[in-house]
Amino acid sequence: MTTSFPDLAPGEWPVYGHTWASRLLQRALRIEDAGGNGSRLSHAYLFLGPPQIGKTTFARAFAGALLCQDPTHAPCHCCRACRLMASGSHPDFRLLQPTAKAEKELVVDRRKGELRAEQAEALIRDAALRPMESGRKVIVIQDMHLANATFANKILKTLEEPPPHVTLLVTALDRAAVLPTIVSRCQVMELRPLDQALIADALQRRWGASKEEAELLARLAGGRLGWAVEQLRNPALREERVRHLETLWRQLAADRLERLRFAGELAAQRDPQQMFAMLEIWMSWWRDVLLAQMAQGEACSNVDQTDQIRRHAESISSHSIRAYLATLKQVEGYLRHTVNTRLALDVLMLKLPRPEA
Amino acid sequence: MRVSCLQEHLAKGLSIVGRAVSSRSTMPVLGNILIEANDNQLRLAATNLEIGVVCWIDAKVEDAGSITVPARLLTEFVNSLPPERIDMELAVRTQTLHLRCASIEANLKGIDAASFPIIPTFETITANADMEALQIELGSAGLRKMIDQVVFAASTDESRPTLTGVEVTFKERRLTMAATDGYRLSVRSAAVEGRLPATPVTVIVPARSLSELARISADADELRPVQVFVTQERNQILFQIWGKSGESKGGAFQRVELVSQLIDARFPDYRAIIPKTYNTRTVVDTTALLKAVRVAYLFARDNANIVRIKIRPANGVNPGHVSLAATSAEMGDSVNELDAMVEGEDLEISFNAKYLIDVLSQIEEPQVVIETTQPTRPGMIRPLGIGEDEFLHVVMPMHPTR
Repeated sequence: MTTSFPDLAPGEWPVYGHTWASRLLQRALRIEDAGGNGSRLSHAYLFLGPPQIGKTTFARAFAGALLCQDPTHAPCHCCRACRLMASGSHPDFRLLQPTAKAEKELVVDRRKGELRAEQAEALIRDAALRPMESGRKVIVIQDMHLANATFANKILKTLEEPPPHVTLLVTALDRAAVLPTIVSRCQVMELRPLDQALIADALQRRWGASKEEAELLARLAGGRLGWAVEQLRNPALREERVRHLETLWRQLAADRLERLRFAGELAAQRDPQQMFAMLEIWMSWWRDVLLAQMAQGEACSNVDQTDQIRRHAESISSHSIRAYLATLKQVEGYLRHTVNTRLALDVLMLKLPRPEA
Repeated sequence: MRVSCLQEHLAKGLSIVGRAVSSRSTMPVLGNILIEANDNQLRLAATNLEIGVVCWIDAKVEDAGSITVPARLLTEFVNSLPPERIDMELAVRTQTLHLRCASIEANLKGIDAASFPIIPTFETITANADMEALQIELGSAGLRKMIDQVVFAASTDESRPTLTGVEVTFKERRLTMAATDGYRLSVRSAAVEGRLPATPVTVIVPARSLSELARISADADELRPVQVFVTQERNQILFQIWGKSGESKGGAFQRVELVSQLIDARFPDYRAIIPKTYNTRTVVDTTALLKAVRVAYLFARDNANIVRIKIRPANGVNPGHVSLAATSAEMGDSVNELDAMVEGEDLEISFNAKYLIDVLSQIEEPQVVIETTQPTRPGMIRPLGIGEDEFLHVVMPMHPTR
């Protein structure tokens, strides 16, 4: 996802939100470039945060600032380095992504792939070579939590003491998913979910969403701008959400036999990605219903379905909703481990509350 | 851009720069070759961010301009054309290059030349007068020989980047190259002309870049020296090679510039491991020894390449001799005796046959000197007749299990 921000002022980072982090790094960069006493920039950073929150986008923006040729206004958005960054072809910028083997070739795969030993070797060699056009070389390692042990161990030395011209930027989901030896070698920055209003605003201004769309997606996104943009670009994903909700409503009215049949179907699909997406949507739904019961309808996520939310809020007791939310959470946890998928889904479906007539 | 050139020249140029094309998929522009028409010459360039090769060929330019086009497609297309004139025209709006040769026409979709990395050139480096770039000249044949005698000793293990490079030192009017992989060391030195800095300059050049340089200089004009520059920031080394342009037979280039990134590390202090003394000094015929090692290698390759060398000095009755033995548990064994001039003590030492073949095939002098101390200490091999500081090779012995 390469984005260009032609209307940005010099010094402004091409990211929405995360201002606290960008200000901090910007300041460190200024001090470093002004030759302040002692270097304030770290040789390695680790950006943590939930998926699609903008970790790589942020790392890319930081790389742009590091590589910019204008020392006082980096990133200036007009020099050659900034233009090359925007088009994704800066020769001193590297992005290492998890890869999967397909027909003996490595292809980028962020779902099932991993960071491999041969990539570590290429990185080590690349780091030893001097930069080509600018004074620095920036290497972004994406999804460190997907690194295999060989990769992680091989890069330890480079990560600890890279050559002076190299800055390493690492992204990962959370601290626990990364080897402690990696964490301890980096300056850690935990990126936080973005503000709802900020996402809605960004979707409208940058990605041309309508007001209603932007409002709905911002509420559903849970602070993940990347998720919202993906939904916006891919209408099929949005239809999927409505489909999952409709399934839920249908199952609420269905008898046990029908519910078990559905659980069987779902288990036979063997598509965990799809299953977790459904669970997530269901959870957001029950949260909304609970909020509606407490007269907090304003805070609901699924704002396009207010009638249905109200109906459920009136017909299902808050006690059973809370119990079912706990079940949802529990079943989700089970499904992430090795359990019998069919059994877990049976439980999920049987515990589904019934609306009182 | 509107330009025409001969198919042979273009094919030659593409074969030279083609080796630097990257297979990295993350930056599509690196899979392309930059074509720039200017001043009645065509500039072809490719880079994989480690090495950049720029080649100028003769052309007739009507309109200047530039574009990058997919390297593989262009090379294979040009190679399949008849040896005639090729006319090229660039449609700027669509970034499409139109080629016409004899009855064949083609359109190649390209990428804007502005997104191609800047490869520094001789002009850009020397234009800046206050830049104290190092600048020397070398005969292309001599340079090629130097490179060949050194690069084979460099490591191919990517995770130790320092050893995949060749240490190049400019010091007191001499150029020294050294490479080691931890088991063997090759050092070659020669006197050079040119503008050398007062203080010694040491850089580490990737062995791959030097091999590429040796390959390109095989087609060079032997009468014009190769120019070498090291940039002020010490991040790049540039070689300028002059071609045999003007000769009409076959393809030819005007000149080639090869720019290599340098490895940023400290090279191990190899001088410490060069043996200072010897107990046994053996002088032997180079080709005879090489042949003998090759024979021994046939048996040794099943057994960790171990070749056992017994050295005996003359004892009044028999002249000094060297015997090479290799054993393979399954295949058999071989022994080969050579006459030699031996000074000093008896010795039995084992070496990796592969390493001996590598070094002996790079020695042109008729005789070589082997200096050894103990079976467990490194041996030194160098040609007889030239000084120790010209060329020497140190190789670690092996410990055969008995």
